[in-house]
Amino acid sequence: MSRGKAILSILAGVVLLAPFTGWSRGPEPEPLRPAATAFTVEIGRQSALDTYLSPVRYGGLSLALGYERLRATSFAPGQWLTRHAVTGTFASMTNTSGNGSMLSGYLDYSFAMLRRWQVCKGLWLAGGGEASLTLGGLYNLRNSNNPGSAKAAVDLGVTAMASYHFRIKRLPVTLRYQGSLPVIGAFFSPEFGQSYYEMFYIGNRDGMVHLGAWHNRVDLRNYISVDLHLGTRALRLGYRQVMRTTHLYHIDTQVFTHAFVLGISGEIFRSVRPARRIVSVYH
Amino acid sequence: MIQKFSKIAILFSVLSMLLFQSCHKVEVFEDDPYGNFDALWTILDERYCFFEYKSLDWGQIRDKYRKKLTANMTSEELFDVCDAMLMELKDGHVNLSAAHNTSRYWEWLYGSPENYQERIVDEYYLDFDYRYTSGIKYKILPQNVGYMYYGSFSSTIGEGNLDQILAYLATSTGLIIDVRSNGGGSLSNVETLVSRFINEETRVGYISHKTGPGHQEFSELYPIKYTPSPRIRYQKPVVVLANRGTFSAANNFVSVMKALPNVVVMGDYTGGGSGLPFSSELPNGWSIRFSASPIYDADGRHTEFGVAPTEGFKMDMDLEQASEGIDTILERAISYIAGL
Repeated sequence: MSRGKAILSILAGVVLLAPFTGWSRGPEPEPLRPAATAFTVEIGRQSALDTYLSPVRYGGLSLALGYERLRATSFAPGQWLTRHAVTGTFASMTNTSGNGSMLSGYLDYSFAMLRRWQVCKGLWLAGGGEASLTLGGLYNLRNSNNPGSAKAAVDLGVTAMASYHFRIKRLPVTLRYQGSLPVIGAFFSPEFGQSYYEMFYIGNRDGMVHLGAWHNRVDLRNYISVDLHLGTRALRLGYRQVMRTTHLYHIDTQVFTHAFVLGISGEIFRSVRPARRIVSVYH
Repeated sequence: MIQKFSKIAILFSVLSMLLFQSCHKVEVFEDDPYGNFDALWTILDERYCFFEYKSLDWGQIRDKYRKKLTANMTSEELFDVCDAMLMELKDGHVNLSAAHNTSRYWEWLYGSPENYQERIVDEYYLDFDYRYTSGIKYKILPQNVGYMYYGSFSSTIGEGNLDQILAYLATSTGLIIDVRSNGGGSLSNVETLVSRFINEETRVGYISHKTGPGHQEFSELYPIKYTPSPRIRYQKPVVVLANRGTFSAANNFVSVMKALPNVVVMGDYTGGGSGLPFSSELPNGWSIRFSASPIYDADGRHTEFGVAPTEGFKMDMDLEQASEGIDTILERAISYIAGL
């Protein structure tokens, strides 16, 4: 074999074998994107004022169950992440004189997509957009033809998140804050003195759905959590504050919830391929 | 980079503060005699629906009764002042409920003949022997006239029960629907019953509601339409018996039936009560019920003060004959149907 033929043979071998030896300069293997999930129980206090039902503010115990799922996106996983969150909240309240009762129930779902930046080691900031759906209502147990005030809304808004991952001695800890602020959407409201009998029995449904923006509807959600990583799972402790307000047709609704959060969180790996790069939303 | 994020954080904080401020301030009343009185007056001022129709100067009424308040008055004394103020509304749907008492306006009832004695009907016409379901007593009287007494629209009428009643009464030559002293209840029962006496979609009235706190702020009248029941429907002449105790949903029933062909309303004016009542409350926990949403008859007229009997059929019960067990209103209804 001539020297030239020998070189050509070696080059051909390199090209053919490259895919199997990892020497190829082809696309980088897709990194693992574990989903950071959390199941939470929330207990706290809710106060509610809905002038369609009563001019008196009610207050009482609030209980909620929550589920949250964060995951890096398949595209640009180091920069973007998505968040799904579902919370079901129930509260039983009384008026200040103690002779009136009101129940409230809310189901909130939101989907957010956030761009994140690493500020320094362990500290991430993120911001993005959020779409949310709210269903629920308030029910006053002693009212006659205005016993309930139904709540339904779809919103687009902004959300921000900051997380800091550090260690206390050998215990990994993730401190996280997230805030959500709906900006524009649509929501349901009766007119000032309109009965649900007129709307849903007689059928006068004109004008029930309204454009919602900050002039007539302001919601705000703040959530602070601490994840204490104990092996593959973490204990979550936190605080959630939810503010729901509307002002339309001279009807004011103000529902505030402050709750202590207790839960279990952790990252779920769908497959284990240690050779791959892992893009965590925690760190 | 950190500076950039600091600016964003400051902007977000300022924005949050602005949003908190944008929460509309709701007037809060103190839990004292003046605060509770003012709360009651304001609730009605903004939400009561008959100020214009009744030509009431609510501001003047406030001044008249607020003078009677003192800072140290007892809860019962405050209740009496509030009760007296509410009587000015002349509305049976207005009730203030406290732990010790419930205010009520029943002058329209007490100032009129009763025109119904249950015992006379049960003993001398039904012979204590009648069928009873869904809160309805019914029987075919000896003159082959069907009779049903419905004492409260709070008693839910089952469609199957109504089928049984109308099937049983089908052989009668006409039907008397007695709603005397029926104090009302659910409007859905009105539709259930009326839908058995119409053969096509029928506009039976209108509803309106307040669109703001002003005394004249109302929505356009919205038609209330009933569709005929697909089940058994009664096609023969009907007489509806009413008295001043026929109130609220029963008043609505009479106004609807009166507009139907083949129906005669007999007896006295109904008691009225055409405002759909809402509830609210005072800082001290007292509950207030009031007319909030007016319901009109098929011609768009208020029936707040009652529905007149069909022309020529206004009558009061003869008490002398009543003492002998004769209900002269029912007698006339029987004769009317039997003579057709």
